[in-house]
Amino acid sequence: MQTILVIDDSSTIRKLLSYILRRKDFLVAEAEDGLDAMEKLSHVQADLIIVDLNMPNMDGLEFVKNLRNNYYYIDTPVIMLTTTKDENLRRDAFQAGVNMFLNKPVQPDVLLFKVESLLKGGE
Amino acid sequence: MEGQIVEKDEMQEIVAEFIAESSELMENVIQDIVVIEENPDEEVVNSIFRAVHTIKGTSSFLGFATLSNLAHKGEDVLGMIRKKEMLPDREVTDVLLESFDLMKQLIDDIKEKGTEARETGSTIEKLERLTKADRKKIGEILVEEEAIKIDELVNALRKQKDDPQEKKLGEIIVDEKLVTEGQLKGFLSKQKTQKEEQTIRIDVRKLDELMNLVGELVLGKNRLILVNSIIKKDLNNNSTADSFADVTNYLESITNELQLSVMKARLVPISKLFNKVPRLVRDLCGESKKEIDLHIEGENTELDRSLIEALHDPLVHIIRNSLDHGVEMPEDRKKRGKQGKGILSMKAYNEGNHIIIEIYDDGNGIHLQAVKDKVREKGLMTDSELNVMTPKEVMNLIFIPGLSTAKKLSSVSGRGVGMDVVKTNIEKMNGQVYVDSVEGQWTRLIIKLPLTLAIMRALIVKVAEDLFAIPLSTVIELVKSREGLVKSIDKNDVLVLRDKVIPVIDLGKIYSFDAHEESDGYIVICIIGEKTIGIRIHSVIGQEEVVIKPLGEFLGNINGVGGATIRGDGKVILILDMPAVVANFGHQKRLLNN
Repeated sequence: MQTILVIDDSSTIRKLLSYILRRKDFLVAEAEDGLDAMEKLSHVQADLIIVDLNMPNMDGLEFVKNLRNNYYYIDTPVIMLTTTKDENLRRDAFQAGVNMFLNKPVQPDVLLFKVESLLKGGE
Repeated sequence: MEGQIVEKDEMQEIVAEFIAESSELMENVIQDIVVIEENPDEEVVNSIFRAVHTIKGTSSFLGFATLSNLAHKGEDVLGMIRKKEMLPDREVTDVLLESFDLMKQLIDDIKEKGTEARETGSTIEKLERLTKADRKKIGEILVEEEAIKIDELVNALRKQKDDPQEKKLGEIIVDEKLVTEGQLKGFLSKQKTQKEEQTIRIDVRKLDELMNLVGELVLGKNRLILVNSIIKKDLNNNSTADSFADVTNYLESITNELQLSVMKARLVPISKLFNKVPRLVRDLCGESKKEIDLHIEGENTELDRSLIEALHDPLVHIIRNSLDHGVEMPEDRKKRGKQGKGILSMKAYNEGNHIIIEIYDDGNGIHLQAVKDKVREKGLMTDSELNVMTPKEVMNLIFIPGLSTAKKLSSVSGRGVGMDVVKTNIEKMNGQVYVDSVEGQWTRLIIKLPLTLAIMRALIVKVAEDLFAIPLSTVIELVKSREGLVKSIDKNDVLVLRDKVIPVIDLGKIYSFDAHEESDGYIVICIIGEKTIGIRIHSVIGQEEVVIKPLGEFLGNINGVGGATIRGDGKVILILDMPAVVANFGHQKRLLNN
């Protein structure tokens, strides 16, 4: 079974994503911001990461930059949740190492499609 | 769309999570908005923005369109504050508060009815007006401050219109190098916000259940201690008795620790309550045109969750009273040589097994003669009674039902129901409240509460053939009675202790047992609020931890009895409700005198 780390400061969103992903037999770990996620990653092995852009303490962009500095997570697929249409911000996020974007509000089938295709691509 | 992927019951759980999360977020946001009005700290503004953003996102996913739309408009305004394009002044925060209150109501609607049916049009319009009006505002401010010239502003506004990226006015002005980014940012105060504690949400009912079980365990432990002492007597110097004593001690210490930690699990910082005060004071000041400097201290002091809830109304009432009748209008204050801004300070701290909450204002103080006049006018007491009272006792008459000394009624307080309700509510929590004041200068209200409602230490005493429990928090001293110690003055029994005259209550007489006069026995000296009284008892059994059980529906309101408890030997004994005992005593005395 593959593990997905969900990082979002909203517990509703975390719960929602967990439900959708668990239904497809993924293991789900949750973190409430970038800092918390870095902590979790020190003892959880994640196969894919879903991260929100706008969070307290350490935001999504900062988190991805930090993540990619870690040799261990250099090619772990990352999906970023966002509502932004700001192209500059999207470009920055891609450059930092985000693989795909997922628009909020989350559509469950789109989410699963993106997750599965990213995980297959890695095999 | 989520039909097959998320099941119906899962959806319900997600909605429940959403309600819990957003209610909590709204609570925080409403408190924070008052903070940024005084000091637009970047971190606080960001956290408000994030909270509203989260609610917008999740509510739109769950199909709560009204809430989502309202949050969206609020987010627009907050976004401008965040980018320093709008100052969170009174006008702005008023509209934001209105929209947040409405969002909270919508969330409550969803919780109770599952749908959101509420008119949001006028609030949304107000929010929109803010975002539109502001385009001029930041420009106007810059011109007023002589940072830029009028024609530069007009130029920038024109550029903004044509800008393909829809840049904000502030950004354009910085791009044009008219002002530096630093100037635009204006206020940058770095205040570290505290990191939130790790928490999980637990249904209070589960904790109540746990507390109940611990209560039963404490009773079991008490029984065991009793059995242990009997065995010790019967089997002198026996190794079985020793090991039994060991086990008993062990169980006793574990039970005590368990009781403490379950109790702690129910504790909530009083900031839950205190954080609502700035908003309340702000609104009240707005209505009355008074000015207040608010100080809050000790907001991390913890007390039982149920106490927090029960304290809310009394506290609101006390604060309203302070602002209405305490603190004077700025011009009157200046005449008295005080600062124009009144001081209201609230302080919470621990004292032994108690929490003390003090509410202080430097306003009118209590007019002693007015209190006396009122009491006399209402026929609540006679002149001779009033004349022998100390100033402190007179002050505390404000807690008598049906007494309001304020000459003018206002919408929020001064209807004559008030301080007596505060007192009743606090006494229901086994607490005490009293007041201290210097006329024309200040008033201080002191509330004393137990840490928990369910378990307390008590002195077990024997009166005639019956046992009673007296809350240990009121007991200060035990005096051995002897012939001639208790004297009778004016048909009242009193005890002179170190030159102080203390009235003595005979429980036997109040509860009409066979009141056979005995000169031996003890007098328990108790302090309740500002009153010291003695209670005549026959013997003392000892100190015990008692679990308070309500008397049940049929026996619910016995005056002077706060509940019952079960002792180690299985006997039920009554716990005295000391404030009520004192009140009863005063009443009886008056009947006798007439």
